[in-house]
Amino acid sequence: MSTCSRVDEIRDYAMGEGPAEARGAIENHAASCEECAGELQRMRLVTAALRSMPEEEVPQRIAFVSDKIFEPSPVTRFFQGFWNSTARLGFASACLLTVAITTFALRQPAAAPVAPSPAAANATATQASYTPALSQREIARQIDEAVAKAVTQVREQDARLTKAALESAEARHQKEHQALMVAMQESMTVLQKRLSTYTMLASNYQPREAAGQ
Amino acid sequence: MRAMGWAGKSLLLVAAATACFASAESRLSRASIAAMEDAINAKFRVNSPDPYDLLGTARGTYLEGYGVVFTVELQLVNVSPPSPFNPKISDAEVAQIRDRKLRKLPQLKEAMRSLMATAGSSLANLPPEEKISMEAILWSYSWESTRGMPHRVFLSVQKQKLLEALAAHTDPALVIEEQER
Repeated sequence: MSTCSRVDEIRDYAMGEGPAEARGAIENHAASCEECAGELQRMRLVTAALRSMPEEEVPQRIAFVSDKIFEPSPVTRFFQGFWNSTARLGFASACLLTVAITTFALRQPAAAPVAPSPAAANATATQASYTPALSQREIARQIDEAVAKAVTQVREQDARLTKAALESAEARHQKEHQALMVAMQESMTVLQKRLSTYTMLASNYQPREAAGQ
Repeated sequence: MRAMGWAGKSLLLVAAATACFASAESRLSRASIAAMEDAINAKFRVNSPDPYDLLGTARGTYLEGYGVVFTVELQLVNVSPPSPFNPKISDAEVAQIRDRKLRKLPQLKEAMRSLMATAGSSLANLPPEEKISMEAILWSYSWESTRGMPHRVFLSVQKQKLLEALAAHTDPALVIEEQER
């Protein structure tokens, strides 16, 4: 609630109204009256905000929704009806998906022929020879036979390798042993020769006193 | 003839036997040969940083009409043979032993020549036209590398030539014949 009686004059001044000769007196009053100075500041802000807004032309006529000009075209009505219907959208999506899958399947390049590996060939042959008439027991028996055969082969191969390694090690050991025995025999010969030599020298040894006599 | 009887026959036999033994007596005494054998043994038993391994004492033999021959068996260097604790001698060790022996071989020949010079001076009863020979039999193990290594070194010289070389203070190696087998 304003207490100053000249607030209205301040508002007119802010809006650019009022007599021009009175503008100096109003400016002097706003400088001395705190309330009017605040009002003048607020009014200036308001006018500045109003001036910053774009100018809009006032419509020249008023139209109604029921006018022909607002009636949508048939195409617009079709699309509006299409987008507003979940069932139609779902159906259209299913159709698009079907077309995409069919196109992808028809345009898939043919794979290069690959020579099947022996294992794959065996598997294929096994699958080809498989007949539903084979019982579970028969399958188990065949698997057991195959496993037993494979184990036997591996054991035979291991036995052969072990035997060869043992024979090689035995031959090497025999050779080393023989060489060592020859060396020992030679060493014994040398020792015997040394012993004979020292025995001969000792038997011929004469003490200095005895030699001098 | 009958008068000679058993006593005469016996005397005749004794005289014939004495004549035979007297003609077979060696000119070179066993004592002089044994002295030379001792000198050879002492030469190869000498303690040195790299001694010989004497495996057979020196043996001397006098051959009538040829001269005197001395033989000795030895190893040029002392070698540790393989044992159960060291069963394998490496190739590097084998090569090292061979190098040591090859370096020692000239020293052996020089020692033999020195001994032959001693024999020429000491064997006074040896006729000058006869020879002084010395053979060193070199022992080596079967695992050793004997490539370029002789098994025997044989030196021989006529006594007269040797004495002439010694008197002329020339190198005895010039007159001593050398064979390696």
